[in-house]
Amino acid sequence: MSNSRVFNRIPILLITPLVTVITVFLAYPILRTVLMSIQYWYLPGKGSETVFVGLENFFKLVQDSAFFDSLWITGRYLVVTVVARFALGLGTALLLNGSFKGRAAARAMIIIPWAVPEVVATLIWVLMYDQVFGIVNFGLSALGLIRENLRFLEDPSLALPAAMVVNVWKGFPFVAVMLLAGLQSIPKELYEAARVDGADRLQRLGSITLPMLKPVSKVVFLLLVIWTMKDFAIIYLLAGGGPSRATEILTIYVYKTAFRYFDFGLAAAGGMVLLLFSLVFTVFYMRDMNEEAE
Amino acid sequence: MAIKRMLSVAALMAAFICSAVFAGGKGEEAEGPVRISFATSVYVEPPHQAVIDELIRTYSEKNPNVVIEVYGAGWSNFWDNMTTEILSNNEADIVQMYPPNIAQYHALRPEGTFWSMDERIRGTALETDLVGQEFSAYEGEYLALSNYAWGTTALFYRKSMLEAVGVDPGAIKSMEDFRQASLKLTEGDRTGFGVVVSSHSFVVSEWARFLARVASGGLYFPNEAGPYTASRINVDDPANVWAAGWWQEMLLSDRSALAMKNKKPIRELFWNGKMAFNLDGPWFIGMTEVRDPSLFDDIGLIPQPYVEYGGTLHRPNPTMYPLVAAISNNSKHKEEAWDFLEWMASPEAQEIIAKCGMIPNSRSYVRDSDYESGYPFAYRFFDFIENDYDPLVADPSIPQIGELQQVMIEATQLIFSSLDESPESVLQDAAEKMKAIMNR
Repeated sequence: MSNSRVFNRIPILLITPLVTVITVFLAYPILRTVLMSIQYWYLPGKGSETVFVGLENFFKLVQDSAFFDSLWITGRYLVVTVVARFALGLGTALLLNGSFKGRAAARAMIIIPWAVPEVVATLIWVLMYDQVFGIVNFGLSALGLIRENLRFLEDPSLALPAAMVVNVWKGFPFVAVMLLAGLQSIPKELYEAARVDGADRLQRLGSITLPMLKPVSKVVFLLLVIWTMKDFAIIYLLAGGGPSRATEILTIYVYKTAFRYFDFGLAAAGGMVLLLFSLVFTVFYMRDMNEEAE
Repeated sequence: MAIKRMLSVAALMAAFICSAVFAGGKGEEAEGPVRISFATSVYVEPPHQAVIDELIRTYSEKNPNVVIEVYGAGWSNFWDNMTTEILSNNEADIVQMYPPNIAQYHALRPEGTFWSMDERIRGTALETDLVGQEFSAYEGEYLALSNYAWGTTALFYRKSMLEAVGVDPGAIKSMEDFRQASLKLTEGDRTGFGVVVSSHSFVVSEWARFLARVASGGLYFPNEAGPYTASRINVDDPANVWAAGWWQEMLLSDRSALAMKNKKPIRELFWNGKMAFNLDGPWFIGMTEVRDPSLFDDIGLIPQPYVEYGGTLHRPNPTMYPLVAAISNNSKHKEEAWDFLEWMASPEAQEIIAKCGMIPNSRSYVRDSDYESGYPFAYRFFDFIENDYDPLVADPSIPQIGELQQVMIEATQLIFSSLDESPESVLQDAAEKMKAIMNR
């Protein structure tokens, strides 16, 4: 009897530290944000945090054109960077899956952008994009592609594409590594059989490689979407959401609403919307993982 | 037995995690020296670091029972950090900031964030002797004491660059003269002038100091004076609209100024002889000394040009910015913190400030010491204020100023990034947003 009680307590004891950390650093902040989203939490208004306003913050949110602008920017940022990272990662994985001299070194080097801390990498890109001293302008100028230096981070029409480039550069190695692992798990016999049947390279890619990569591709795709949705550092460090809100994705909108406009209630409502979007994709991801496990 | 031990360890671990997580504020200190934390946004800049380190070193020698610990993020991130610290009751004992920030951060806590210094300042020599002390009051109470780095802005120029193209700095009297000179100096990899155009607040302040506030008197309210009501929002005043159009053309049409992300590359280009003019304050003297004192042989200083608008000449009124220090209401060592701040106004501390390349803020020290002969370059700022400038105007110290500034940053970024943007409609839109903020 006492042994079985002991047995039952051990898993609980082992899981306690993790549950404590999750409760303190995840569950509590989320619940507090839910609470804030239905309160009038405008800091310059003294004692405002005690006032419950129901869904007023959400109504205010949908009346704010900046919120819809940020949704539109987030959508473009998400679609372009996810597709580009996936395409570039797939191409890289296919290249690295072949046999050539220096393949091991190439595989190691391709990881570098992903391994460099995000803040460090982004600050280097800030210097590279500089209008006067930046190597990007220097390169484009040397190639004769531009007549005068571009203001990548100061021009509203260039800032978002510039941020997308950094995001793609930083993220494609992850896709490449994951897909490379997927490629290596495809049985070689399938390719040999296809060759015997006279399938060319493109047919082998379309009929064997891509279908066999589907399970890992789904996971990678969902992870990319979830990560991009909560992306913050790249855009914040590159342009701070500017110029004139041109790069203001949803996370930056929430941050600015809280820390620049001091409206924590509205920011919490924005955070809830972001959480809902992320949850949708997380549910897909979890379902996919469960299906695979089964 | 083993289970009991395990349970005890688990309980201890949980207690440790909980105490680490939930321990807010500052606990009682054991016996030993008094520790005072000092938060500042300028410590990342070498001349400021030199002043602060030297002040603390000297003070600590005289007061070995007091330990002052400095911390602070770079200018841009400092303010968001401060908001978080105040909300979590964890701000420093002493917070150094600029006068317009006082009301904004004081209002973040219902009972007020900062300790009233009114009894110690009102009616004393500190009230009249320290430059910019009048800007440190909120709702009739002094909440901060003026420190140093006070001053206004003027135009630094590279003598050799102006000589090479035949520009006489003494002949630059109006903004139109300045624009023509800058245009003449812009050729190849050399530029006349540089302007910050990004999410940095300088996108507003440089334009306001140079042009908008000179012509209109006020960016947010007429003369930035009260009553601070929605109906008095002044941003779409015709003078401000005109100033925005003028600045937009200078940047994007005739390109006599280079648009840059922040002030750092502008200063670098100036020091490297690639940019002829730099709008800066007296702190730039200290920065240049740290960089290379021999640069002073080729650097001159002229007052900001006047502005011609509406058929009249408007003398510059560029913001005066002392660094001021407030003491947190949460501080357990208010008296010790006050003693340190009061000492900073003493002749001994003022001498340190001057020697480190910053501008002392005690009028009596400047008057009674050999400051004028010892620091002739820095002293010229006193001349400009006395003879060339109108009374200086600063952002109003009201709780909503942070939000109004953010609206202004977004509006000016838009205007100064594209010629397609109409200054009038953007500023009208900004005015509506500001009115909504003031009406909350």
